[in-house]
Amino acid sequence: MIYLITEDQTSARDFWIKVFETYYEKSSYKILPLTGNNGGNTTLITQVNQAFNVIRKDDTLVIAFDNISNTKSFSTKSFIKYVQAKCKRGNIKLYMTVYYSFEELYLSYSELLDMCNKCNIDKTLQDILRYVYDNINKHIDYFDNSNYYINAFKNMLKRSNNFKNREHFASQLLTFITIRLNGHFRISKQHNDLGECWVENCKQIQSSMSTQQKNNVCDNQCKFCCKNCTTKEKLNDLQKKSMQQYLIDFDKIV
Amino acid sequence: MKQCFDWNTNVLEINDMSYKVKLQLKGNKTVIDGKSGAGKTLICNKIRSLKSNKNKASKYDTSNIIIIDENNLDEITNGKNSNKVFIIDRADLVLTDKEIDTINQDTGNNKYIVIARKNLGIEISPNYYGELKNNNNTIELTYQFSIPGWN
Repeated sequence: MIYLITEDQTSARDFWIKVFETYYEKSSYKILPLTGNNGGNTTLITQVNQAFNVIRKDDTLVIAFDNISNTKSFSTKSFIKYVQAKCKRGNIKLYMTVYYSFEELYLSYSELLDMCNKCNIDKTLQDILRYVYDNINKHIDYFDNSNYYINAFKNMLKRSNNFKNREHFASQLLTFITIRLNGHFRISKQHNDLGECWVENCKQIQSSMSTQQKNNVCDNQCKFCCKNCTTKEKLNDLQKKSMQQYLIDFDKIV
Repeated sequence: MKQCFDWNTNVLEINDMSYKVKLQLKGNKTVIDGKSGAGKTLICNKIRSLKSNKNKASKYDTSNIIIIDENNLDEITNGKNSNKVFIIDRADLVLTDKEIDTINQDTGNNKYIVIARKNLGIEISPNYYGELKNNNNTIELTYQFSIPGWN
């Protein structure tokens, strides 16, 4: 049995649930419920302890972080060491997401860059994305409030304050870009706001559209390489062309 | 005169008659949480000594290093420093929320080596947690995690 734990009720949780639904038989995995008020990283230890009430030897535990960085109330490093030790003792296979924040999975997706180009997105915005994309894929920390590109984005948002941290920057950048592609691609942090066109089967999306809408949005406007594709084909493409390619394959978590 | 901390290579190095210190930093912020006796305080004391007048013959330039204690906390928050490495020993006893917020907001102006036994909320990934190891009189920094995507 594979058990999935996520930090909280966000688009990242929606994404990982979609991955499990797509690659695994329903009887082979369990999505563990959030604890407290819709989770949060401080509830992760409670979630892990609850998981260990049901998890058995040779099972697999997958922990999907939203953001790997420390906070004042949560030490990611201590948490990981705690879970590693617990899993080792119980002979449990442990997998963790290895991106810095969920948004970086899509910011490192070459298709996002290609779509921005095909959709004639503002050149400066494309340059900002290119800077972030290159650095994520080279495994370099790109977040520096004094950096030219970070400042260019800050100016674009007409912000007077610096970005609070890397995750906030990545989240705002991803939303800002994806909303310009088409509302169906918009990704924000919120639950149920993982742009459906990135992950849902096109046929299913189109089934709720009028013919005119389909012609306009899907046939004429859509520049996605996975146009008319299934969920699995879309996730496979993301796997192949994003930082996920360096990580564990979606279908190899067993 | 050799820089004790080389900004380009991100290495802090002291070569003494009795021991060697070579700390390879990964990023701008490193938290060191090693065991007692691993050399944390020794490094601070050695740099303090190099900075003092007693060591006029020193071969190291320590001008880009600031050792922080209770008496000079404002060096972190006064906004006057750039391209400096702040080394904060016993940070859990010394730093307040004000300095921690400043450190979190500083994303490249200065570098920080924070020596602490508990989580202070320095916003770094587990990749930037180091431990001091003393191998044959060479004090080195080893990292507990090295996940590419967490850089």
